[in-house]
Amino acid sequence: MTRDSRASATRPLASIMRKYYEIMRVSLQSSLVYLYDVVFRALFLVVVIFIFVQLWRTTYGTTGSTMVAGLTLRRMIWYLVLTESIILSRPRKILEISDDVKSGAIAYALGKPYSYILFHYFRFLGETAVRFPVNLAVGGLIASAMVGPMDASLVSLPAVALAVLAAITIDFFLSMAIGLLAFWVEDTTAFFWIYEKMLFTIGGMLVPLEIFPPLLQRISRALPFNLVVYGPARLLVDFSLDGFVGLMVRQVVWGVMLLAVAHIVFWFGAKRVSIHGG
Amino acid sequence: MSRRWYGRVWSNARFVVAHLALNLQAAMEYRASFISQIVGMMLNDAIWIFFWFVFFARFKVVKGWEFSDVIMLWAVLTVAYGIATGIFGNALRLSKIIAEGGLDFFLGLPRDVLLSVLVARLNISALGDLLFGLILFVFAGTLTLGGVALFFLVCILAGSVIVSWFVLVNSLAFFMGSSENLSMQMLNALLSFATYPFPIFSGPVRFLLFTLIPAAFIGYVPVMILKGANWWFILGLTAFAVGLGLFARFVFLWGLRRYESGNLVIVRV
Repeated sequence: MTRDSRASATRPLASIMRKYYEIMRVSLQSSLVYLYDVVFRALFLVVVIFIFVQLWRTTYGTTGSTMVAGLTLRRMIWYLVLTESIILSRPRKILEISDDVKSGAIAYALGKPYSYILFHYFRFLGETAVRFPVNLAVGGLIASAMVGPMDASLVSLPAVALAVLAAITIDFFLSMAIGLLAFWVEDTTAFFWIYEKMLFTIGGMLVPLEIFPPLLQRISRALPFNLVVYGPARLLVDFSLDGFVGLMVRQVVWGVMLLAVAHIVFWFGAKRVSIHGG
Repeated sequence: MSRRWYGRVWSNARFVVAHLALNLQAAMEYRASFISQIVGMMLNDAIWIFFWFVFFARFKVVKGWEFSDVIMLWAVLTVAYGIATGIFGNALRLSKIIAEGGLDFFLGLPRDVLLSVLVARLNISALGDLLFGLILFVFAGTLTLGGVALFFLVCILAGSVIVSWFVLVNSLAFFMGSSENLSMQMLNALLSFATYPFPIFSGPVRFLLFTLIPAAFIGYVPVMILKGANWWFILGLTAFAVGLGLFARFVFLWGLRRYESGNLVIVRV
């Protein structure tokens, strides 16, 4: 391969990446305009973390144990800070995609020079890049004030950040696949609620999976929901290199599978679009 | 005087029932959406019960509260919330309606403005809450005539507290303009605190939950009444529900004097 042919092969890729980078940048800037709104919404975390501290402080006190599910009270609360931050930072993509399908707006997107799915993915990243740090900061502040700062090693933080990025990517492709079901069922609100509650429960948002009975633990670990919430949070409070590698492998495998599923659903759904002009 | 008062209550009750019937008919036009929202909300509630089931399977008792107490708490909360926002669906959206000048339409009606705006919309998913709460009660409640009557009494009183609280915090829009976020935070705080066992909270927080964020009146107090607490609890809940209702109405009417039309042009079919 000559130097010129290499350049021509990489130029389109670079140009494509630049296009999506710009989409993400614009989305991030738009979110920053409403930073006050984002901060205000994050205050809900103060209530949530406060209630969780009360609940778990009482529970630890009742059991008389310093460890529950292998976590001290402080680590349990920091686990919940991260799970709540991930959940509250997610834009409601299922409803947005569903609205696009219902309103017919998706027909306009089909003719645009970008992938509909990737366009929304990079917009999603831009929005989450503003919301997540704000939520984490607010949740972290209240947790630090009530149970003390997180005692994680600094080395683990880049690994946790990577796991969070993979987690929200999985969440996005799951949301996209569910939202696109609007091509067939029209109203996906009920699916949205159920998916959210899957993340809350067997995803590990409300409690670590170790608290579940053994059978339920096995089911939860076999499904992708725990990779969105439990995986990164457990890594934060109980870091190990083996745990990180294992989580990344599962996240990548599920991420690729869900990317394919979202594209297949989109491909079949887009066939049902009829454009009449006017 | 008493006949006039009685007549007004009766007339308003008929007005609410007529609206409920119309709203239900309209909602059922889209049968699949209607059913999916109800079933979806029931599943949503069931998942919270699942959380508590897992929690109590592991920890059994938390400061005297057992799984059965949490079931009763959720039965009361979901029925109360279902009644409150099912019938008075606009209670949730009142600040948005005020900020966008949407009260114009209701000001021209020959009925009480607050009542008219509240009943103009049915929250379909709240019917899922209502149904779910009733199922929980059938499994966990006292199924005698007295038990059922007491359950509905506390649910109606708790529902009244919920609607009044929603009206109160949403009325901030009269004074602050767009207060949707603040109102939403206050609503979430009320419901979040109410869904957890009250004994986990200590001194100052308990005081807060009986005053500024009256979550105790929609969760803890009704459960205590159903568990056989004395008449003071019933009297206290009744007095608080009536007092908060009157106060919310006063604040709404006070704010209404500051209301400015948005000259919003909308078509109501």
